[in-house]
Amino acid sequence: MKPRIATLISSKKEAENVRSFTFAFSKLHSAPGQFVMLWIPGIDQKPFSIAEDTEKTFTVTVFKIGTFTNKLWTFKKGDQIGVSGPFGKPYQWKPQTHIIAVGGGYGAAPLAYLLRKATENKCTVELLLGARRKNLLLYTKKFPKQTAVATDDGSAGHKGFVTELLEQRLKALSPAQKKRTVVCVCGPEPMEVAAARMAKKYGVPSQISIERYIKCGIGVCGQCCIDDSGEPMCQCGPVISGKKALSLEEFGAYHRDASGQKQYYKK
Amino acid sequence: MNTNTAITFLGIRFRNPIVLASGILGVTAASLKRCADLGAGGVTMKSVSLQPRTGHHNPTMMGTDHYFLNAVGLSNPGVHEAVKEVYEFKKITRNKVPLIGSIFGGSIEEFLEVAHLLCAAPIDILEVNLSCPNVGDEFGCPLAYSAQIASDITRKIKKVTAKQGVPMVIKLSPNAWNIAQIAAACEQAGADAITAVNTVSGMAIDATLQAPVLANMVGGVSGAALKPIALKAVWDIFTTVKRIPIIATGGVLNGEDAIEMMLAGGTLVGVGSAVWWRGPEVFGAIVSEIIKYMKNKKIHSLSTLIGKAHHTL
Repeated sequence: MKPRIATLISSKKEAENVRSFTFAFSKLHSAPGQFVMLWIPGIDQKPFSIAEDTEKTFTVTVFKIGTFTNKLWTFKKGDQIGVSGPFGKPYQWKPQTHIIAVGGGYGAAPLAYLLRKATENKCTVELLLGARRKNLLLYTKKFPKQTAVATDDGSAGHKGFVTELLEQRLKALSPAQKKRTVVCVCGPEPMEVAAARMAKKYGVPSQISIERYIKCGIGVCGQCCIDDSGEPMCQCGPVISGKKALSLEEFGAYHRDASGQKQYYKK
Repeated sequence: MNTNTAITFLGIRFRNPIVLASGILGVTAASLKRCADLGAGGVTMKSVSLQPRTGHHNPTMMGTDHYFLNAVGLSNPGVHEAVKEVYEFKKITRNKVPLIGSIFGGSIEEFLEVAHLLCAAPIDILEVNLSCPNVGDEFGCPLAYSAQIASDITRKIKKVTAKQGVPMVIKLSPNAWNIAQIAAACEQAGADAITAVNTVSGMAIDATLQAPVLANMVGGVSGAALKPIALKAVWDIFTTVKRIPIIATGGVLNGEDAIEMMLAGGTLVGVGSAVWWRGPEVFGAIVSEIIKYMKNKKIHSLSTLIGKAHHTL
């Protein structure tokens, strides 16, 4: 399908080099964890996880990293962008359960939307946020009573990894609470691996949003296929179960770049 | 009733004639295996060059009800990475699924070097992509537009593949008005088979933005809109090329399309952008639809259909 056109209505700073952009756009019909392909003609088209969707507007929370995002930073109210999607598999939860959302850096982008929706489903929620330092944290004020933060340098909250906060929470759960809890993760892959293992250790299911180089976004080009299942993460992901993620030989080990060459994560 | 969907192509047994076409889901060994697990009789890797390429900026692909359009720009990890994927594919499929390697190059020297490197890996067939329509500015006119150039390059690559014992298929372009003559010239020059067709040139313009949709402005059309063009190309090639088989590719979305391609002269049938309409399950679905057709028509062996429409009237 040709992209539909959306118009920017507002943008705001979330953290250092991270902004949220809200576009007027009717009926995106997305679910938390899904993504859209945004197209700036003459520049590029890139995937972004959906940070909010009100059915009249949608928001993306974006880290400034390259040509596309540099251009997006120059956008003013009324500027137009092409939108395709929503694509991919969202986070899944049952009503009236407990959700522990774990975000690392700008990877937290889809989690506020997730928690808003889950709260509407009568879920109880908490948000664990990690970053290298304080001014890289997102969404710390969205759910103030349910949020805990960790920073590498101790400039905010717990000094250390967000997965250490996760372990504290998981440890405190009773067996009955564990049965109705799900851990939803989005962040740098080494953190995701640690979080998925931690959830597994405490017998709690997890869902992980996997970031791969998404080219077409529609399950055709094969650029985002993950080893060793061979499934394209734009369609069979980005959100998959922690159990499945941990079974994939590629998860936490490497990813492929725009040409298809393997890039290994630092150990 | 027994129905046998197996096809022998260049001495290689395919459990069915449906092969994944090049450029779709063909970057990694695991993805290729998944297509085979979902029913493809064989698979073709995405075309590779000597050096890695990132291809064009997005948008690179677009689908509509009637056609699919792409200009990916031949992104690939380079032949050295591709060779590793070949070994991985053969390992994880236990050497049971025929694998077609696909190459392109910016010069004859590059073609020969990439052919040499890829044929040293355990591919079953080498497909030579003379016809990508989307990199014209870089590589000049597609080589498949000229019988002279196409046969010249075929002859040179054949020397490499013959030495390494790998059959060579030449993939041709429907943009050439004389594709059947070009196919005949390639046969003369030593091609072991022909793949027809690559995408046909096309484009899309967004009326709201009043601008081309693809970052490359123009691209290649596949899907339903390509089928009658591909069918006629296969039909024509079947009449000019007598000794070598054809991989009939272009707009095959279902079992009936595949049967029609075989009746026109295809021995194998390539399936690519159908994945966009029907998902990767399309391979198994098409095979089921072929079996249903065979049962209805009381056809025991699929190979009896190859080129049959040429003799019916």
